[in-house]
Amino acid sequence: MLELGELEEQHAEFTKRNVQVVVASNDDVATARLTQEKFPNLIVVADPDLSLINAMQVQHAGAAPGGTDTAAPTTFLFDGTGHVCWFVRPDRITDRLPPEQILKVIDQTK
Amino acid sequence: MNANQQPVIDQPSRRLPLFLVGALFFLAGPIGVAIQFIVLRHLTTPWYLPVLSTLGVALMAASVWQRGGVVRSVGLAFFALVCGLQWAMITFAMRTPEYTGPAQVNQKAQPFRASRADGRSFTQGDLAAGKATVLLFYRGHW
Repeated sequence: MLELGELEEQHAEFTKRNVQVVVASNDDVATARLTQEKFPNLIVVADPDLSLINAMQVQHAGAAPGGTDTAAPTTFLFDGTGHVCWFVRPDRITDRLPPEQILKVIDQTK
Repeated sequence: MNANQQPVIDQPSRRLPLFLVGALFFLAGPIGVAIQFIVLRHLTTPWYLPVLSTLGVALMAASVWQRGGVVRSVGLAFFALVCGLQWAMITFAMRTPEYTGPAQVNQKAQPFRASRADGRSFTQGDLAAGKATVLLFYRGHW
């Protein structure tokens, strides 16, 4: 969850741009609550029923330990009307776009 | 024996300890990964890991070719196997599936209902509440 720490550190920059940062996984609500405590400025969303994950089709079948499904690391940017402005999925599970790059995209799409 | 003649003594050969240097190359990869993820917290694929391992295995192979030895040969086989696994992990196992989902630029998300950490619901309406949103999927707490 290194990426959540990086996003948390940059929360002031997102707030300055009037952008909320929502982070979602297939964790249950109890686990999401623990994550929320660590990252109070992010909106942590629990999706154990895979409703959001399936809606966005970001499931990564069999990629979690034990062969269970998880969410492939994917980032979307929505405008205030719910339309997708931009999205990115890294080639590998170990790659993440740094928050500075996301902020740059936000600035470019405005 | 002539008094000016020096006795001939076999000098040990001063070769570079290739196997040891190879092993150090091999170890440099995992150390680099630990520094990258724990200290620098830099999230990129550590391609240098199998590259360093390959260099290490090449040096070990050179050592076995020069000096032979069962222990070196077994060690070379072990490190070569680990090196192959590293390439397989990074090249294939860590790949994410290509995104073919319905969410495309200028389109809305399909209806969904998830929960915030405090138990309140989070739906597609929350993405259209007037404020831009970065929605990031992470791999959860394992």
